[in-house]
Amino acid sequence: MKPLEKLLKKPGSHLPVRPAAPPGQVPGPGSVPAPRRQSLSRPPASPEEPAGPAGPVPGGEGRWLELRPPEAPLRSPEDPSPGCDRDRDRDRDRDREPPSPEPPPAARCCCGCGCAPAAPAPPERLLAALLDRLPAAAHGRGCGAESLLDDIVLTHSLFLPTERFLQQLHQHFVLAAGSPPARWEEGSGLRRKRAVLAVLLHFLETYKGLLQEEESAGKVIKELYLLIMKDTSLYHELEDEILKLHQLVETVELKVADETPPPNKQVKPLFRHFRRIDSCLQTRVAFRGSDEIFCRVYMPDHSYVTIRSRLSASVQDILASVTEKLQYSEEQSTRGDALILVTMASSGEKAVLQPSEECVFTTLGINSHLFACTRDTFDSLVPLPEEIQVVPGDTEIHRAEPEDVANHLTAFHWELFRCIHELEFVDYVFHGERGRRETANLELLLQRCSEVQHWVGTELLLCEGLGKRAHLLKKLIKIAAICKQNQDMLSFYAIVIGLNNAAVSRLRLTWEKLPGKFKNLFRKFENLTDPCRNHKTYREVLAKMKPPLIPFVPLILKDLTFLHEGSKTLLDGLVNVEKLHCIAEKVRTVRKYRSRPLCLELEASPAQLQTKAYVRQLRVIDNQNLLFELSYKLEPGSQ
Amino acid sequence: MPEQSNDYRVVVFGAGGVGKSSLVLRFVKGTFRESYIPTIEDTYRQVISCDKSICTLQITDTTGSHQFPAMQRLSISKGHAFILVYSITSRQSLEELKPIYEQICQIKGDIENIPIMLVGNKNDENQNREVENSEGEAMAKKWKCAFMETSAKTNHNVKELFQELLNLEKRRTVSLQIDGKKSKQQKRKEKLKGKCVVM
Repeated sequence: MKPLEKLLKKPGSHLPVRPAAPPGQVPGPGSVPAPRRQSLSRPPASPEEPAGPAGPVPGGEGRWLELRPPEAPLRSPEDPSPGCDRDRDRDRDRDREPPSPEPPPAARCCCGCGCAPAAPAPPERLLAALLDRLPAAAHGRGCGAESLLDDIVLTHSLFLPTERFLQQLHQHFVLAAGSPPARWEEGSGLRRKRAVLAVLLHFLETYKGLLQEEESAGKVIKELYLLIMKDTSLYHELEDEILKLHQLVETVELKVADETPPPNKQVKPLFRHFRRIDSCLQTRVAFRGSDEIFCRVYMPDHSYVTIRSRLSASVQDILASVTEKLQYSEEQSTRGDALILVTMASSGEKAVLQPSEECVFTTLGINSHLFACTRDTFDSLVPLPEEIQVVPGDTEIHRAEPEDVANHLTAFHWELFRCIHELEFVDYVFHGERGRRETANLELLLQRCSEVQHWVGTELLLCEGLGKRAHLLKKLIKIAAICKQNQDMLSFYAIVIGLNNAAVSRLRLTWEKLPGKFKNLFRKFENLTDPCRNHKTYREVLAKMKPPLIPFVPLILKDLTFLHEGSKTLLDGLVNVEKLHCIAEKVRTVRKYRSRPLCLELEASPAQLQTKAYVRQLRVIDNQNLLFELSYKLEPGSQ
Repeated sequence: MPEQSNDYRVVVFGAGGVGKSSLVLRFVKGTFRESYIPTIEDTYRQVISCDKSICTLQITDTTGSHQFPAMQRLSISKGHAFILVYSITSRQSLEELKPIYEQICQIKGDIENIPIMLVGNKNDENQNREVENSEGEAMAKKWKCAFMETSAKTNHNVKELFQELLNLEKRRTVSLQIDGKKSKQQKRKEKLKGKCVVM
């Protein structure tokens, strides 16, 4: 198994399954006040968790979702939890805190002030609870309302499809426009409307480009937008917000079914099939499901057709295009010879894709290809010949300076990292349970991460001379060191993992020739990437870094997976707000990492461009057996 | 595993809609359809004989639009033989072959030994003819290449086109015939051929 997969497959291997019994246990050296976290084993009404300034909050207990019976009261509208000064301190504290390796306690007071983040509520009531709190935020700012808003916008899809979420928002607005419930005080309808506006704004800002992909959601937003515009006169104080709303609605170019589709988008070649210098040098922009891409589909005899398809196309759609292209007759497809779509790795490993699967292009392995064949021919499929002719390569890596290679790696990975929408992190972990949203950009980054790992091995193992190989090994360690300096932990990790590949690490003679200084350096790198104590060393180093930085993204996904699997989202129909919060926190760390632009000074000289092109379209062997073969050929006796 | 270097690569060029894919699919699969699906790049493989042994004929069907100059250059540099297709119903399509021909000359240098076939397709549409047979021949003479009019629709001259092209290869002996062995597709194609004799 590839190291990366191994890491991802065992989300809990180094973690306690439940929060450890010692209460208040905090990772990282005492950066957070002790009462921040609590274990499940403790009673809810912990003395460490004093009631907020507002007095006993019913929700305070309700947060203990898994302990509380379902009658846990929903925070009543009359009880807007007032602001809490310690909130800001909390935020600051949290920034310093290393990424939490702990599973989410079923509940915790995130700020240690007892200001009660929010009560668990049935999905349909949670939005109402949020809206109740929001006006407070509009004036005083502060209290958890802002953070709750962000939590819910980021994670609502866990318990409520986006479209339904928006519909509810819409309903709240309509309700506020009509006669308000008797218990509402004067002006509360207006307040509610403002709250809806605030939620909508935050939603739009968060989703932005993604909304073009969701027609039905776009429709609801449009309706709500028109509704809000109808009584703009009410929002004198909120002119800025309204202006922002205009802009946002405009920029997201909401696609509504009855409107003409936007002008043809340019086809974005997915880099795997079209190694083209001209396009690989361009700055990468995010892929969206509606983007059209080219993809090659192979036949059993290795013929291929290139189809043009939406990135989000289903296997069924792809097969329809292929069938049409090949002029596959109807008679054939009804005879039971219908085509199936298969992915095949360079090692010959193959799997049949289900007709309903969507956006498969970005989930393929590095040198995997799509094959269309009939059930009869499935067994006879053989992989394409290795793209790399197994001859000692004399690639760019031998010519280029380590600094240049490292900087181009960092620059490219920063581009890829930036292309990932915040929600892709959430959707990646939760897809399969909810309607699948594309996570193409995240998948491409993961693919790249494993590509870099194999690149390291490929280059080393294609280098025949021992002296030259040792020199290249030194160079790769140096590249890793510079990537680390660049705060590009993704490239750093990938190179170290690549060097730890068994086919590489068994090259005893090569490692022996490495200067002592570099041996020590690499040993340090191994320690830094050591997964023990849930990647403690790495997390500590990361916590000390200031943005911009590129984290080792697979670990974020592992943490999210753990947060997800470690606790339920719904129990007895109530939403685990604390879980939402923990997940949103994780996503916010990504936001923080990207809060400043990463600028590297890179020349545009021809030599630099060549290095850049090389780095951006690595040719690698991803067939571990082949790597071993090469390794044994280079150093037969070594162990 | 098929050996890459053993392949004999034929590349088909021409403006959009002249019938490149139709010719290729008629040859490879024996089928024809009126519907038009723009091609990006497809490659079909067929076993042929080459210097008395077996090799793979790789026919690359390219895009008619000029969207991807880099891909075009790559196909030329990798190709062993070229088919330049225009439609006899469009003078413009013959014009559009000029830059492609020039690029082949530029990339391949000496084209004396490179099999190139100029093809006027759609010769079943005589009523819409814009380019006379003689004009095609004249152009071929100028370009020092072979010439043929075809119809993928009626299966006129399609197999002959590929056979002729391979005959032009002087550096090795390539032939569509593999002694005594015919693939299922070929048999099927011949069966179909028997049904529509328009010649």
